[in-house]
Amino acid sequence: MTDLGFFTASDLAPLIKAKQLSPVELTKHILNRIDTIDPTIHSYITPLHELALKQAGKAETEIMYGRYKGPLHGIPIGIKDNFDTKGIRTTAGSKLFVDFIPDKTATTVEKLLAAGGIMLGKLNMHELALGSTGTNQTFGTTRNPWNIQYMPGGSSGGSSAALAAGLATLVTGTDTFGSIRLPAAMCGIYGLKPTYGLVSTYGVIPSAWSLDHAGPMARSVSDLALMLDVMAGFDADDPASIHVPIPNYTEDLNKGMRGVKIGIPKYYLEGLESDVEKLFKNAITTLKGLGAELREIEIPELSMATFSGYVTVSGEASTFHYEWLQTHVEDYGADNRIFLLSGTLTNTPQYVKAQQARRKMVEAFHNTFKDIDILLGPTIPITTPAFAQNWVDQNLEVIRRCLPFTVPVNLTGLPSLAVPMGFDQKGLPVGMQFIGNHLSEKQILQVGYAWERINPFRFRIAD
Amino acid sequence: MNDTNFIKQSLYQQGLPIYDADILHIQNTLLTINYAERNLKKISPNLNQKVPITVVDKRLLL
Repeated sequence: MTDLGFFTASDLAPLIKAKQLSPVELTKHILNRIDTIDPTIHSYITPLHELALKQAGKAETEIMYGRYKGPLHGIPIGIKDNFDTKGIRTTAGSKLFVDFIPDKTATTVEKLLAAGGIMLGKLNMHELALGSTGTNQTFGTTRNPWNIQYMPGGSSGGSSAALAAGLATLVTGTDTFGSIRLPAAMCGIYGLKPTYGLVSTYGVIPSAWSLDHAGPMARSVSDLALMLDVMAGFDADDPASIHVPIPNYTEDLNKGMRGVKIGIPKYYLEGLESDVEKLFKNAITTLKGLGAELREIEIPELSMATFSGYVTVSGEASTFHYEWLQTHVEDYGADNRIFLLSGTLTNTPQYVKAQQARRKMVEAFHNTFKDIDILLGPTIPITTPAFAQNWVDQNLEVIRRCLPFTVPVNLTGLPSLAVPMGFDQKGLPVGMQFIGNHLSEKQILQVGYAWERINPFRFRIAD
Repeated sequence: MNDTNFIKQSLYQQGLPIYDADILHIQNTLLTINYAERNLKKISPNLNQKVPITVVDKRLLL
């Protein structure tokens, strides 16, 4: 029988609602797993046993008295440590913030807690959300639960590892150039980077303002929908927040993908490692079997993403960190120091050109979506690497290889759903991403749900 | 732009730290950017006709 730690929120919610499962017992069970397993995985920076049990007790009382709030009520949630939590240390995985106690809570965390979620703790992450491997010299490097010699991905590596190891039911993530989707691929879980501005980033420590997104991560598509139902919506405190009608994301999830037109940009077929290529070809065949119409397409403007991504990320991030780089450089890992210093050496015309290229890319995507419903590609072109001794070189190299696959949707603000697509020859998960037009989250979740129903991960866990 | 002396001097002038071990990595990062920049002209020779995406909070203006 599956351990309770690996149940999805969609499985647990009906049990909690029917008073057949106690939120306190569930929370205790997962906290016990954290105590036992996390010394090896390092997915948490700050577990919050006392607070979690207090919140679980409150949820239990509310439910017993008939005040059930909805499917997140009593569900244990891990929070990435770059989301501010009032009165609770928030480090962004960095020595810079080692003693930072925020005086406010990030909007999205507030919403999840108001929906009855239980905050298990603050999750480990690649320092400052600026790397893709999950290494962390200050709080300990997170390990991939499928094989601890391998990286979990980053920057939301604590989030993805906690899900894969059954150390949280749901988690939050952030994505500036792939930080939700890349670790989702490496740990075999699901992650959604929503449309820019759909989910508030108020109270999230910035990485690069114009590319930062917050989003849900989970062990199923239906759980992502449950989270998005709560997380999405206008926030007057977030200047990037958009005022749009929010659909019910969980409704009609099982619509299927018959007749859905899926385009595969040739850009996403270049430079793939052989295992990724093989699994992706299999996925295409499976999707055709599900009734989708697939064809290869050309979007030449995607080739602008590497330049635009590097310049925008490093430029905005080095601006945010400029004074600290001058005065506290010893508080940075070498990989981030190099990346941020490089950002101070690009010039203003390059930054502006990067923003011109972004407009060009958005226009190209909008044109493409006139004939195509959804785009598809591998989440990243490589299989999950084992940790190398030279971690600085490795971190910069993983960014160089993966950023071109992940950053286009950050630059253009499009939603992208990362799903597992199989295992490589080393037994590590490999992922792919469904990319939709702006505000098409409902559709990509429906397509992702149809995929999830037949994918090999439904019956495997990283135990 | 990728020359060692240029990198060191630029960092120095900005009051930023210089670690010799970083220089090669910084050069590689800047090379990646410069190489990718060449693609822009190939794909969009008229890129300058595009208005940059700018971070403007419309709520401040209305």
